[in-house]
Amino acid sequence: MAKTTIIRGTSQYRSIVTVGFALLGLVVILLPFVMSGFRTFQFTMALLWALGVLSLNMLTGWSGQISLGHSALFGLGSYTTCILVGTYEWNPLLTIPVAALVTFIFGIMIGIPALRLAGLYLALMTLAIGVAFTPVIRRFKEHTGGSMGISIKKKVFPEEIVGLNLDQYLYFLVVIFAVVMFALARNLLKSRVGRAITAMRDNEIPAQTMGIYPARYKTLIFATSSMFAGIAGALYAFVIRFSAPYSFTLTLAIFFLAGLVVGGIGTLAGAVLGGLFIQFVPYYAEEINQSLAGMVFGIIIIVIMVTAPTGVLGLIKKVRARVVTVADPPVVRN
Amino acid sequence: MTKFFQLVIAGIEIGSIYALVALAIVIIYASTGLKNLAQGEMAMFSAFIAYQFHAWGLGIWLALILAILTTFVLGMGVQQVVLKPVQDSSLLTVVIVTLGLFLGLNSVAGFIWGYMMLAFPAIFPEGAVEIGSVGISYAAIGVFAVLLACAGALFALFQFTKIGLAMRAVAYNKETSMLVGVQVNRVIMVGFGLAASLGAVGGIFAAPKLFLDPFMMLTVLIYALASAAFGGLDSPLGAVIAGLFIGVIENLAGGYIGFIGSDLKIVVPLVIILGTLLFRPQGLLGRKYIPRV
Amino acid sequence: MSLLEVSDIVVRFGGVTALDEASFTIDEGQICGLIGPNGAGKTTLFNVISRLYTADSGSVRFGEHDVLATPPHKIAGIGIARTFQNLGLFPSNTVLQNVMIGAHHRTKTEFLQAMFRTPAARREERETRELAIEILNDLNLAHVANSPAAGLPYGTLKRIELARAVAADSKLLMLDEPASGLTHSEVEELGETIRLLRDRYDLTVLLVEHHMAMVMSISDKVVALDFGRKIAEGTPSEVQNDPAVIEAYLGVEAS
Ligand SMILES: Nc1ncnc2c1ncn2[C@@H]1O[C@H](COP(=O)(O)OP(=O)(O)O)[C@@H](O)[C@H]1O
Ligand SMILES: [Mg+2]
Repeated sequence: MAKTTIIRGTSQYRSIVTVGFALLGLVVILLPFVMSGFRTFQFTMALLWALGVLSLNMLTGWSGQISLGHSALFGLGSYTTCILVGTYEWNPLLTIPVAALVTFIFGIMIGIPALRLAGLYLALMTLAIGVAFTPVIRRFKEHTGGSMGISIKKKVFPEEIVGLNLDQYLYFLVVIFAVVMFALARNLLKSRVGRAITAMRDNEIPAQTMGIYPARYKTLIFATSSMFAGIAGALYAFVIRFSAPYSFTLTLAIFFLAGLVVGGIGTLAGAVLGGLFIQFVPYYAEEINQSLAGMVFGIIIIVIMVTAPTGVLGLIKKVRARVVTVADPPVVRN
Repeated sequence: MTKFFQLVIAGIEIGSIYALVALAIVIIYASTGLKNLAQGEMAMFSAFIAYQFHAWGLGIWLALILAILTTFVLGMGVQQVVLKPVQDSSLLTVVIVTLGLFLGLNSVAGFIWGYMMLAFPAIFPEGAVEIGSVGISYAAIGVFAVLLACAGALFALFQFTKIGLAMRAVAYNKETSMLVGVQVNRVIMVGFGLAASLGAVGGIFAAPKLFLDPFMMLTVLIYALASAAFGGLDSPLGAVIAGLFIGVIENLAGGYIGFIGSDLKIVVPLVIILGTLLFRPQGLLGRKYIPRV
Repeated sequence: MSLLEVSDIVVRFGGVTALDEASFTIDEGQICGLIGPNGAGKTTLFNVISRLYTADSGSVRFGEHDVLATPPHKIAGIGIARTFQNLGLFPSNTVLQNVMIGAHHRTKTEFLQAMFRTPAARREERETRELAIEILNDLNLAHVANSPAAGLPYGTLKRIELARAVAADSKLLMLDEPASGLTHSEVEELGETIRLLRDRYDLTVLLVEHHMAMVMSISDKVVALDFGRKIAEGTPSEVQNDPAVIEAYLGVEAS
């Protein structure tokens, strides 16, 4: 069979991409109208996890820094929204920028000491943050509700919004945020900043001699990644309307990591696969046994890292490469 | 003053556990450059194994010795199957794989033994030695003695045995060791088994105090990692000293600073890690090196 | 006034004195060859000037700048670019991206502009790309522009590093053994290329190289190091005939 070659930037390539995205868009839009409310909710959750994985990817996939504290950052976003809406009766949408800011600042606070040393210590420190989150939340129970958690009343959301029921409304809200956040992440990756960050990951010392200031970029990507996790957490609070210390344990951080590994470290689309994985594997596994999800995740993490470090997306690309070659146009001087 | 000494003794008791797990981490790090984030979970698993042997009717001491031996074998198996393939990969890969191991072990333990807290039989007799108004429990004395015995045995192993010498050689320089005929792979495997057993000692002796459940070692892991970092990732002696120190500091902070109480104690290792990282990255007794360009 | 002035630099690693009061100067526009047997301290000197190693004593002046008081990430900004003896590329980035990264310090786009693709960010991106393509063409690398740097032949990688250093638009270009691993004809071509780049981009070049024929043919001046000390400095022919230099080379590697 003759292999087809498609050149990026040509009209052929553009039309394929356009049709692809149009189909995907159609599926995304129709989904909540053909699926049950519960299924819609599940996909909303999958997207939230995907955003969590995306945030971790910006840190781990791009800059090579590891974080086990992303469960805590996600939780911090969720608590910010729950407290502002639940206790202070804010408009939920207005809490998102606050959650973003809080987690951004928190990210800088972790990022600055973290950049003093290599990944080994970062893993260690973020691990401690991930583990400390639950007891710290319990400690400040005047604000957080302690072990009981804190909730948002359902009536802060209208019963029906522009003809959508609550499940559908939340689904589209999260879809819109996800589209925007993925686009922002993609722009960042494909820019001077993204190049600097990946260069630093590949080879830090030479990167420095190009004028890349590692401290600056490491801190800022840490903060940006934290902010993305925080926004995802705030949206989670919209959907679940509840924050409890036990929802944001180290297990969640490892789940994000598992989603990252499964989807493919460093890829953007992989994060979506990772999100679906985090949502649906435990759902079906736990019907069989409470521990099965963890075992499956643990084993899959190890097997993928050992045998196929590029994850599912890497495998998809390999299969695709058998059928068509997607190439960049040759570089010419103009 | 009584309160102070009481807190110090409680600190030494729990600190001995931290030190044991920290020792395990340091031994693996020094010999392979690998930091095993699943060390705590492996220790937890060993504690369950000891529990199981005991539940089958063995005496507690026999149960724990058998559990430690089993762990030695399991540790070598884990190294061969899970970690050897990624031994020379990037740090990120190794960290992720040990976390996969973490999650896997945790879930398997939950699968077999459930998530309810189980009471672990006391290993040492009840009661305490009274010195003035301060009571030192037999358990505290016992755990501390176990730590000293383990550290001493480890020292003797490194100084006086062939395998210990080989382990030190591998830790110092893998390539050269290979050239002079050390079976590097076997040495690493045994080192891993040894580390797992040390962790097992920590887990088993922690079990009567912490109760058994799949998450029992989570905070211990953090304290142990903090001890390893603080003492110097490649220094066994540093790990022991730092483990004890952190145990004591944590108890004093929890006991005297009302704001910290029992929930915020966990922040103590965090602060210690941060402090180490900022002011003495190589740790108390660790070696410093300049990377080559 | 000379462009670069290295004065009495001392660097010790434990018992090894890698540089022992090394001093020399380079004038603007010169190509200066830096030679010496393996372990003489050439790379160490590069690392001192790039601020990757800290000198125990001595000073380095570059134009008006006190180099040793400049942090490592600002060295590119004062106009010093370099290549690495053992390659310092970014393997997961494409060749084009590698060269664009070379222009990092000359460009400004930051997080927010990048995320929202502001017009300024887009313009800068386009300009950087065009610049990189131009340099790739100059160095006959256009055909690999979109390949990841990992996996290309060694000689090609060496040229990519050179391209990346050129993209920095520096005043001083420091090349650490650019000809190592190249075939005979490639070496000759490289000599030509270095001269060409010097003329086109107004560069001053500090060239570490073992390939004597090339060093001697393109250098305006040569400095010889042995055991961290300068043993000769002068025109290529002076240095070539210097007894200390001959001794250093014969003593170490009989050729
Ligand atoms: N990071 C380092 N740590 C210890 N010794 C070093 C380091 N870098 C260089 N050296 C030593 O300094 C001396 C000079 O090395 P180098 O500058 O690489 O020589 P050259 O580039 O001239 O071959 C050598 O003896 C080398 O072993
Ligand atoms: Mg050299």
